[in-house]
Amino acid sequence: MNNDHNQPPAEAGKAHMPSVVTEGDPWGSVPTVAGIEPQNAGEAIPRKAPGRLREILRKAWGNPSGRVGFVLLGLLVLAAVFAPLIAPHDPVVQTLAATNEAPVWLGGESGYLLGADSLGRDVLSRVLHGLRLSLLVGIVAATVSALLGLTLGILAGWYEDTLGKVLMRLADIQFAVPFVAVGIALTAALGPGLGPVLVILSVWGWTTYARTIANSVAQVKRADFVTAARTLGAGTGRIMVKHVAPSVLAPVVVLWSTSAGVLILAESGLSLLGLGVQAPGFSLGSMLSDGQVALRLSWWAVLFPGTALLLIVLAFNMIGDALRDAFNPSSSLAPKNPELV
Amino acid sequence: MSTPPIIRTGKTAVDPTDVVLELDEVVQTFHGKGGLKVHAVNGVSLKIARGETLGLVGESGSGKTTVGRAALRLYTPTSGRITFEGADVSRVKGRKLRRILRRRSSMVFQNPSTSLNGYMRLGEILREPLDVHRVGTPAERKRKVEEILDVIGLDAAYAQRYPHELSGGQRQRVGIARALMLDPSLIVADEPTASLDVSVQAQIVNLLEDIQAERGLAYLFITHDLALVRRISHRIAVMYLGRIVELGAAEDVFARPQHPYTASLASMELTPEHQIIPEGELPSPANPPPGCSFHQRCPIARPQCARERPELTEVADVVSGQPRSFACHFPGELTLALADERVVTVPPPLPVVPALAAR
Ligand SMILES: Nc1ncnc2c1ncn2[C@@H]1O[C@H](COP(=O)(O)OP(=O)(O)O)[C@@H](O)[C@H]1O
Ligand code: SF4
Ligand SMILES: [Mg+2]
Repeated sequence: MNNDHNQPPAEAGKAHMPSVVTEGDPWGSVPTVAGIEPQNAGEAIPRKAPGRLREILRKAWGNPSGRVGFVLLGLLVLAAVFAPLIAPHDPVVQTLAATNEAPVWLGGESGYLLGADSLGRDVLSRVLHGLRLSLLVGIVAATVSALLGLTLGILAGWYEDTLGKVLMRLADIQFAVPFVAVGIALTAALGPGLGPVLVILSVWGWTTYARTIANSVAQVKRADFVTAARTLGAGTGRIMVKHVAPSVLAPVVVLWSTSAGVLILAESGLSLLGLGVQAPGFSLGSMLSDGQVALRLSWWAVLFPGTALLLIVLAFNMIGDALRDAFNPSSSLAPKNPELV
Repeated sequence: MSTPPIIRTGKTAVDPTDVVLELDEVVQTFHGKGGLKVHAVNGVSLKIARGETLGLVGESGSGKTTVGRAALRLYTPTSGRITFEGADVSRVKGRKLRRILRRRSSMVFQNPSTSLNGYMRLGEILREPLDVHRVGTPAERKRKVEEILDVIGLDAAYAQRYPHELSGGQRQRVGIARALMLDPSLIVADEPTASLDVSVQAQIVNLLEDIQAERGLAYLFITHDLALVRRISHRIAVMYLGRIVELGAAEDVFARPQHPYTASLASMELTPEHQIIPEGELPSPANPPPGCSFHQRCPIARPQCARERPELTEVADVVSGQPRSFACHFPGELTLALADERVVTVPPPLPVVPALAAR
């Protein structure tokens, strides 16, 4: 009988209860043993402990790469927000005399810090203004797809045998469909503009999230603390919001950060195909496509928006890495539920 | 037995007619891999009265956890009836289930680390049952959380802490506190001390006993620790392969085992040469043997055992006179070896119950 009861007799009777059998012993009077600290540690406990997300962010900030990422992203966002104030010129005004004017430091005579493009527009001002749309697209699309992916991933994991199977099959199908073709089709259907691109970028990303978290959700569903909530009457909706979502938030936040950079690049890719924002509106991506026609005459009109894009992606990736480290289960912040990570 | 068999320190007085939970022929079948039907629980009947602890023992895989979870309607029973405080809850759902069973019962788990959500503060964890059932105002809920922390011996400031900041024993106490938030009449405790240090086990058991004495709640106490189960249970049920094979007063069951499987469990507390170790492994609940489910492993099995399944039969214990039941064609025939200096209480010779030998 290879089982629970097959203990040597010394253990079977486990030094159990002898010390405990004292009549009417309030359990508090059980001799204090090593490992049981005094329970009135009230002084040492802050009344309001910091929130978990704040702890994670603080930890990511403590990571050098995370700090560089946050500072870089902060500067880019500031530049975007205050573009109208700091841009030296109107980004859409064309100055014929300045056509393909080189940056000042390359001998440009009209005083454009980063030169002018083939239509005589100030590249610096355009980069600053272009940042706004690019960052907006990236952040909005990443956030929408994260929320969508989180929701669908939770549903897929919770109803793993039914809805989960359907959703995972859908994800496989979507994987086989070329993203650009859908972009073109959607633009054909909805007309050109930022709208269709924003829609497709927001919708396309859910699969990564859903795949990443569905398994963990299925595990959390079986966790004792979920069973406890069920025995106490919590409904499925409450359990998903209060218990499941926080348990899978870590990968979602990390993915959000990395995907924001990727989505900004995807928007530029679509811009190169003429999809997305239409003139006179522009993003860093559409600047690349505008600039390539006169690449030989004014390479600065491509290099600087490209550099800005690179910095954005870099910032998001560095933040993503730092967040991943901060969420790492071996870190002291992680809950000690190994099966949940 | 190595310890005096009857130590009834904290055991409360029980009126056996004041039934909180009754299972009647409950069957719980799962669909295992490859379309196999796993009969995890195969016709279990039991009653637990207010203030009573029913100990449920049996080797792992015998279906103890499934009985506990079925009692709390974490599944819908395949067949049979579950009655809680007089209401048939076998098939109720949604709001009705919530109002009757969920409001008045709860569970304590083996592993206190996985039974508390690591992302929630203790205050939130403890408040959740009140939130779910909309009990009291926010201020009252907060006060109730502080009260319960006091009951389990933690400072109110712990409400702001996360589970990983606590020791295992503290966590288990929080698990018990959560189970008490709605003033339940029934707690299913599934091996609540199995993952704790011996010293901490004592605290937890004392806490559970004190709470029972104070609030008169019923425990379905699942464990494989025989010394513990004897100490805290009023009655003990022995499970084997999805069925109860023996059930009786705590002081009778292991002192005078009638079923050979119970005898083998009881013998594990003796020195190795006196242990009765059934051959082979627990059969798969997907494919239970015909006749007596213990017959392949039973040291005294006879041909009849493979053909006819013994029914659970109730008799009066010959010594205590208390009711006890067992499912065996040849009850009491397998006796415990007694010649051991460590055995302080020598059980009387095992009586043969003639009425049953005939069956
Ligand atoms: N959800 C389930 N699906 C399939 N089989 C299960 C499920 N729960 C339990 N079982 C099976 O039922 C049997 C009894 O399990 P359990 O109640 O956990 O036993 P115990 O608690 O006594 O160790 C085991 O064979 C187990 O594999
Ligand atoms: S019925 Fe037969 S096989 Fe089953 S326990 Fe009794 S003696 Fe053993
Ligand atoms: Mg179990």
